[in-house]
Amino acid sequence: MNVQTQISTAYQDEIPNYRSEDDFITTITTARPQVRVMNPNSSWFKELEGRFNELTSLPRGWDGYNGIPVSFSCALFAGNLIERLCVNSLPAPQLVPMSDGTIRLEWHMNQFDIEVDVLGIYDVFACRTDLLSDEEDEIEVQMDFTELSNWISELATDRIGALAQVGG
Amino acid sequence: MQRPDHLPDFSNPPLDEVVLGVQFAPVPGYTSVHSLKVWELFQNEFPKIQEHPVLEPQFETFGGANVQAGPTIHVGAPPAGSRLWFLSDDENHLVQFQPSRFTTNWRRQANPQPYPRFEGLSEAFENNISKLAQHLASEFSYDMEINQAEVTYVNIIPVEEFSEAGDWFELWNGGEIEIEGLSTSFNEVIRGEDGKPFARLNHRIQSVFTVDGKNKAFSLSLSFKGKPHGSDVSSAMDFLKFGRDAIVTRFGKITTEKAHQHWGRTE
Repeated sequence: MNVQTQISTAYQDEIPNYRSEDDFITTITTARPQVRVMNPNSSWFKELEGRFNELTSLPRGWDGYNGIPVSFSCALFAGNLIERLCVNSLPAPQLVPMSDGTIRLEWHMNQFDIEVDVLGIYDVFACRTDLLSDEEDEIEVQMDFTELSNWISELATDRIGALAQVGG
Repeated sequence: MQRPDHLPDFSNPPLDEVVLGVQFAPVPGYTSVHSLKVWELFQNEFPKIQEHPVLEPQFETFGGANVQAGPTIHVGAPPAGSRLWFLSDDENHLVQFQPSRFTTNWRRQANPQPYPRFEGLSEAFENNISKLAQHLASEFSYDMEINQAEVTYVNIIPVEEFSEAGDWFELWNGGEIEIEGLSTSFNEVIRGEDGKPFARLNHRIQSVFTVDGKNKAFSLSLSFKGKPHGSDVSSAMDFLKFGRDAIVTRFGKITTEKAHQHWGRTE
């Protein structure tokens, strides 16, 4: 008894092919959104959607040299990362394109600099500099964002204010 | 490959569908025109074709504040092309192909064929995926880089009333409640020996009706998804085997003794 005779149970998140209301039949290239968001959970991604569009549509040589646009796989994984890490009370990261098609997420606040390089699918390198102690931490991330998430939570701490309180 | 002794075994399990699949980095330069040559690889065994919408990339990730975060962001041009189903004559077996995924399904049909067991299904899948990988290497100079794998077992458990849930599932204690419908799902994060997460085991129980609406059943779906330790076919097969063990063991734990007797537990 296969009660689901019309569908396969594999990958049940499937979506129908996207079709815009006015399909273009000309071959003239027009600026069309590259990023499609289905029911985004995070305020960060809503805020950054336009920036993702911009970075994945960069012209070749955008940096004055041989820079290529941010690759779809890097943008896709960066989007996944942002959805998971989002803390609504914190500002969204700055998105910085790299000339090799990778993308960097940056936060600079409360005496922390955090730079997260998304180099590909399951390939992330993150670096945090503590400007108060001059300490640097580096981590490589594949699937588990827990440590990176802790860094983001710590970004919210007003450390200067806390130090002032301790100092009386 | 032999069935491991430690797994619970049943002479008449309620299994309705088994799915083994891998996702890989998209094949550069592939277009619909190339699909004929892909079908030719499998045509003898799977002579029928159906066309379905392509599936978007999906990644299992862990940690972070938003545990419900899902595969909701899609980057790149809207999906063009299609996902092809190549079906066996009796339609019990099929393989699905799109230039970033390869999947095989065994499903119970009106013409019941014996379930080839995981061992048979996975051996055939490994042969087929190796055939595909060789084809993509020779036609596109593409080295298949697998980034996710999945094994899913779907069981259909016919019931008179949904209030019988407690007879079948250990985790349900509905008491005297007259249940109109039941839908529940939960995930377990699976960790490796190093304590790091690498997969999820998703459990889904849902009350369903037969297509004619006359008969009730519970659908119990167990899915094991994640990233194999390497990106080659052999790593993916290890992952699928591990996932199958997790699913079958869990099936034995979350279903009742009474249910086991009904399905003819053989050990």
